[in-house]
Amino acid sequence: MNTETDAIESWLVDRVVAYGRVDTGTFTPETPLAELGLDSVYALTLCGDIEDEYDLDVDPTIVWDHPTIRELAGGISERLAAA
Amino acid sequence: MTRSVLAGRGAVADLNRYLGDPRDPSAVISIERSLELDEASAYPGDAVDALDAWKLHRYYAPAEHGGELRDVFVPMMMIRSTAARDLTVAVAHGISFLGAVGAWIAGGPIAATMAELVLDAAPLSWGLTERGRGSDLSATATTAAIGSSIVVDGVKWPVNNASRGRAMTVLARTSDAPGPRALSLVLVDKGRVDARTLATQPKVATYGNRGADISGLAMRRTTVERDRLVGEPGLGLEIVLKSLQFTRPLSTALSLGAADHAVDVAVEFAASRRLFGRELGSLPAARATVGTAVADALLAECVVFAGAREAHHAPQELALVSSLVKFLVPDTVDLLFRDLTSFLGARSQLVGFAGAGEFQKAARDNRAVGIFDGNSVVNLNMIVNEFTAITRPEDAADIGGILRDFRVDAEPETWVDPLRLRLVTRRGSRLLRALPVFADLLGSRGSAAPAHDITAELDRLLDAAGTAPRQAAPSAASFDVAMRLALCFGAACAIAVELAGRGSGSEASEARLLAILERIAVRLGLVRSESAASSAVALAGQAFETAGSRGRLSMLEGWGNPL
Repeated sequence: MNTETDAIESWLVDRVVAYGRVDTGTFTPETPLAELGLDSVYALTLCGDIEDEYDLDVDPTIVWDHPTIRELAGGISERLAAA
Repeated sequence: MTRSVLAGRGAVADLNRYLGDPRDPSAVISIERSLELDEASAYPGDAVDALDAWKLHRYYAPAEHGGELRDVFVPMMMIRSTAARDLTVAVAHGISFLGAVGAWIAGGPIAATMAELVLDAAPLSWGLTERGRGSDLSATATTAAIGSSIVVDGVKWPVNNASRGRAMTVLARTSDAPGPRALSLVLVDKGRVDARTLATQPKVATYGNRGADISGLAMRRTTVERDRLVGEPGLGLEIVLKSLQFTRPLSTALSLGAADHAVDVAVEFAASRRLFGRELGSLPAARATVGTAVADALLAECVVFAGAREAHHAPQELALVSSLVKFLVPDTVDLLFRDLTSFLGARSQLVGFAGAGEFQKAARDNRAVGIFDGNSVVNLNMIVNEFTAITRPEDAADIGGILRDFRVDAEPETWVDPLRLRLVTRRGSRLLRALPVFADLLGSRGSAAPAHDITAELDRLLDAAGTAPRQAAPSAASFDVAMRLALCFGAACAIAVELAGRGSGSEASEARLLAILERIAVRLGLVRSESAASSAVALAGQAFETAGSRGRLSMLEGWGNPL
């Protein structure tokens, strides 16, 4: 994993905590997002935040295909590299 | 005009001629026969066969797969024409489009397989729902084990055409892993599987569309070939959600047909009924009631048209647009039926003598449109989920582009590119974004006043949407904002259609737009209904005049909307 993916991962952790469903330290980047109180509505919000932060065009299916913070960070990183 | 425009419109006109006058008992679809079948909850088999004989099914398959489907508005107008005569017949035939559309989204060899079925006039169904799981498709329990073949196990119910359909596109679980990628679509062709593994479940008794085959199909270790997957494994829910973006606007053509039917009955009643020694239609209060219903019907027409146009020209926004259309059109037409019920009085409910019966059937049939393919609550929820996108800052919409796309003679020549569809939009709908400029473009016209009032309301709604909390179960306040946003969207659709029309700005066209916008302002609670009465009365005048020459008022000049 490169530093960029690390940075994305920690940004995602911050976002998930900001949604207020889980506290810092109660989950890992490998906990499924669905277990972090991230229902489909928050998945939409998260997609919007990803778009705004990284200027990427993402659909909620990115969360379907990358269902943990670690996988999602990898997915975002791949798309940034391809952009 | 291109050749395909003329071909599309010509085909709609041809279907109308073929279907004939429903008051003629020998017509393909006659009111008399429709009411008989409805009373008996019997399937309208003769009418469905007649539509097959006319080859309506060819308009359900894209041209690239051998069919006639190019502009999706063409089959929508055909469904409208059919539904205006008998909505149950349109539901019974149109369901094959819904059963097939997943294959057009998925593409690949399965699209060719599906096209063979469609072009063979095979009745199709779409097996999404299961008993006890409501609208939650992610809870699908039917399984499909993928090996060298696919073994399907489960029960789909209640499903339109489940018993009569030759093939069903089945949503099934293909993986034990949690999440949306565990679902896939499988085409189960009853002619190609062991019939002993299938069992139909009896038809459900329904309030409307009584004759439709709303039943179930049980599959017990039903084996289908490996190449019968509709899309790759794991893409099932995504394909369904994208398919629904087409089928939602498509199904509102049913409501539009119902609205045509209701307005016909009301206009005829107003012309034939005498009250206080005068023709009912000459009394101002009666004219206002009829005019209000016509305004609702014209709004519905503009919104259905917008749904079709945006499918082709703004597919990346269809996630939102399809929900706005699917909420607003059935809701508006339900309202139209309720208002005309008191106008028609007893005959709105009665069955068994001339002129009565058809209204109550159309009203019941239309109620179902707000339920299937995502009910009104589901659609409002989708709109609430888009609040972030709708309120995101964005450059002004490309007005010239919208007006080009909304010309009635700008018929798209190819079916939609499914790769441009998204599950959620980035910036909402360009039509909502365009409303302030649209209002300005009306200049000094009378319709500018309600347009500006509605624009001001849109600003308030966007503020409310921007601060609404994100919740899996939205508050009643958020639902209310979503409903009101849909009305503002309707205003934008109506203005776009009017401005793009050839007769834009003429006295008659302005009178139609004014009545539509004032009606929306009343529904939004911005003005009292009395202040919209004079525009409604004027619109009723146009409707009576058009009916006198055996026509129906329309916002879409040239598309022909004959009685």
